[in-house]
Amino acid sequence: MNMPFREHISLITALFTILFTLQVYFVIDRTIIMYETTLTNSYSMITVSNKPIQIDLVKDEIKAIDKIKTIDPQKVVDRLKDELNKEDLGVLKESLPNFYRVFLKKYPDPDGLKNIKNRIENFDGIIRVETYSKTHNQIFKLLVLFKEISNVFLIAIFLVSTLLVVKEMRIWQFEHTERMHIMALFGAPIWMRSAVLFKVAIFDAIISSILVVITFLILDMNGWLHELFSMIAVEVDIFEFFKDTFKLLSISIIISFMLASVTILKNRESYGR
Amino acid sequence: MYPPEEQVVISAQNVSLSYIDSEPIIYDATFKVKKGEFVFITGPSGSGKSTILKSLYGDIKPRNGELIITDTPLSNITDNTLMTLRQHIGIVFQDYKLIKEWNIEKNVMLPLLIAGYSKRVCEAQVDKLLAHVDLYHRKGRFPMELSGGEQQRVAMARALSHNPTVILADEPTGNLDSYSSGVIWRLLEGANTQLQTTIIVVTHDIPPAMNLNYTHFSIQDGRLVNEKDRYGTTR
Repeated sequence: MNMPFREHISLITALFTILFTLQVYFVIDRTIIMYETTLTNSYSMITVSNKPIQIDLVKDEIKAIDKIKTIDPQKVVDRLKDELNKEDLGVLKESLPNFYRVFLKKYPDPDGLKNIKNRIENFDGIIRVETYSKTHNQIFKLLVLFKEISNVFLIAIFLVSTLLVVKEMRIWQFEHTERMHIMALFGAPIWMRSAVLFKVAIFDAIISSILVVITFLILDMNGWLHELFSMIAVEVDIFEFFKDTFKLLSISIIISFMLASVTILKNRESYGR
Repeated sequence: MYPPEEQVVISAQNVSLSYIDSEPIIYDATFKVKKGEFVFITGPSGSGKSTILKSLYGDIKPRNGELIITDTPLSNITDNTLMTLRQHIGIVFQDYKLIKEWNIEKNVMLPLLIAGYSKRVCEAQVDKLLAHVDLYHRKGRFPMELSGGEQQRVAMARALSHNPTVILADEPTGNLDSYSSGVIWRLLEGANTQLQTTIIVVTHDIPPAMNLNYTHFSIQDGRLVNEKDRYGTTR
């Protein structure tokens, strides 16, 4: 390589910044998906029917429904057993309607929820569907907000990355043009002039990826972030070793190869230049 | 057709040179340089001496005329052929043009690496040349750690390393002390007399202590004039 280490620092710093922010985005994205899954799993609507509903039929008709569970009326009756005698309890149990908990496949938006509610109500015997829409809508808005923030963050990453890469292109033009020109003066073919750049690109990509991997492994081992996530009842992997390492390394190699290619294209030597 | 010992290495026919969108600096230059010839091109600053040299290694394309270097016509030359041609040329610049990120050894090795020699051959040749320019003990150093004279000796060793057909030197002693200047002239003379290398030197003044025959072109008002063919007059 023979390049003094300071020659590598600028690209490594730029790549580290891009990869670090990207990994933060991955964690945020993963958190939102986890949070949405948790909301979906914990959310259910209560359906009351004066006759037993055909669960499979309802599920076939409304694809958004994941499962329907029957609520055992005995629990309601048991709460009243101290206040009512056995005979009255028997009458009450006979006259109670059927209660169901309806779970959905995906956390719906308010319109989707309304649509599902209306379609359930159309089934024969359904007397009430409780969606807890007020609470649902508030949580849904919060989720949308998280997603929007995440998207804005992604755009910001893209802009910052573009600026850093453009700046790095200028630095590379300055740093590598002279060497490539001198090599060309002695007849070095393009692959030989480019080889030095690609070696630097691969080296810097690997080093910056390793630095980000180490940073996130340390953060993952530190309990502080996990405690933060547990506050919203979400269990997130801050760093998925193989998947994230592969992603980060690929991205840094793509960026640095792009940089090398642009520098080479701008330094093509031809007769009369 | 020249006999083998008078093989033409460089041929220029009505060559005019200019930079983009400017008036020609050199008009209608016609000359031939034979194998083993030592040529000086002199002229005042800004007269176009370096421009001629640049045209010889393909950095500037003639506006008119035809240039042929080692049997390769430069008009419509492809990038690959230009690179192959340059592998037979050694160039020495006034500002040395050493690669600052590489140590001295690797700088001198550059033409050999390009030619595809093995590492062992490269190292042996570089060691020999660095010893010859009295810089063997500094081969691990980087160019910025050397004085101007030392850097030019490194550049000279690099130009000689691959035993080129032609050496082009652009004011090679312009910034040097008398010791380094002496070393550079001795090396150029040695390459010319011992290896029959064709040498073209662009300079303000021909050194008075030249001990060989040379051809002298001067530039006057953009025209290349053969001042005096000094063949057969050894000083």
